[in-house]
Amino acid sequence: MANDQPEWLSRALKGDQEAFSLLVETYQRPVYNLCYRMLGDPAEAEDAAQDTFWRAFQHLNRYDPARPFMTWLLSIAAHFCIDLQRKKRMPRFSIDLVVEEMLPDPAPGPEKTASQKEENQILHAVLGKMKPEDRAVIVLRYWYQMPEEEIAQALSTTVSSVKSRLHRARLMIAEQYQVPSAMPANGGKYYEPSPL
Amino acid sequence: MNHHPYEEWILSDETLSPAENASVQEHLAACPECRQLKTRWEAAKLQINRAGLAAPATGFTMRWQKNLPDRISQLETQSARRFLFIILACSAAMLAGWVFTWLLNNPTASIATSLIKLTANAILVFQGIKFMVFPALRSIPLVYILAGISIAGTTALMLSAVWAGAIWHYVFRKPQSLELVKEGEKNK
Repeated sequence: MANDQPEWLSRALKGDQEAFSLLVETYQRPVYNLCYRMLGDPAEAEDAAQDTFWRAFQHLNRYDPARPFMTWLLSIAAHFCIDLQRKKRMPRFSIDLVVEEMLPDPAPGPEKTASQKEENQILHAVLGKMKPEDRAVIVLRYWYQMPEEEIAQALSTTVSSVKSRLHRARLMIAEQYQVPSAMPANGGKYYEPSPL
Repeated sequence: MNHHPYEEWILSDETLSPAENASVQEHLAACPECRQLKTRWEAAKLQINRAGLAAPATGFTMRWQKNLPDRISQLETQSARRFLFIILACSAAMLAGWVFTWLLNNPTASIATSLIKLTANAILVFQGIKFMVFPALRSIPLVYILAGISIAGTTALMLSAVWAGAIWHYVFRKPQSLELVKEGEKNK
């Protein structure tokens, strides 16, 4: 999908709106996912993702081709969502709000779907309690497998700050994540201690 | 019980050394809190992996393309308003500066006196122009003078109308080019 990207980018830089639309088509899902994980509401995530692409369209001449285009887009989206949440002061997460996500199993049974929804609600409830900056770090690390250096670059911060936020966020998840009832139980333990 | 540094090791993504790993296992066997922490963290990571990337509703790119002309139009209108505001602010600043300088030169003068002096100075300036220009005009035939006045007046009126129209168009209305773009898209 990224083979034609340099050509689309160079055409978009010359003002070709069709070429930029191709980039929107290509990157809509990762950008939307970040906004959704940050904001927790599908409608707000849609608006935020559209605004992210508009910001990118306006400032395309500032894009450094040495960096991956997706990282640049995710950086814009993360900053936008953090600003949005700071303006609202309160996270707008609701555990009732769950989108239909693309699940690994193409045809899960009703029980499995319900259990995955429950797990997803629990995860989002925990994410919703975090500071927006900590949430951004967690989302970039675990949904996009970004290394700490890249996260620091995307969020315009230092690697040590990313490390500290990651630890704080992981600790919060580990303390507050309620293992769903559907998880397989092993004699009262969900997991045996395994080598780290 | 002291959970340091086990808590950090349990939550870390980095691979631990054999010695660190043995130490964690020993601690986990004795510490139910850290066992629970590890269980919950691993369950949460599993859920993150399962969740995958959420997808937007179908037609995301179409919505982007549909909204783009409006966004561009809003941006241009904002730029035009900002430009007009800067011009007005600069003019106001210049006028304020001029009034301030005038008051500095005439500190004792009241506003009424200042206005009278200003009017008197303006009359003097116009009289000076009259004494210089009118004798020169007397040597030119009246027809040429009237023709010149009408040409200059019409040109000034036309330029003012164009200027006012352009400002009104860019500040309060969408540029015609964008209307054409929209119409073109509707016709597609």
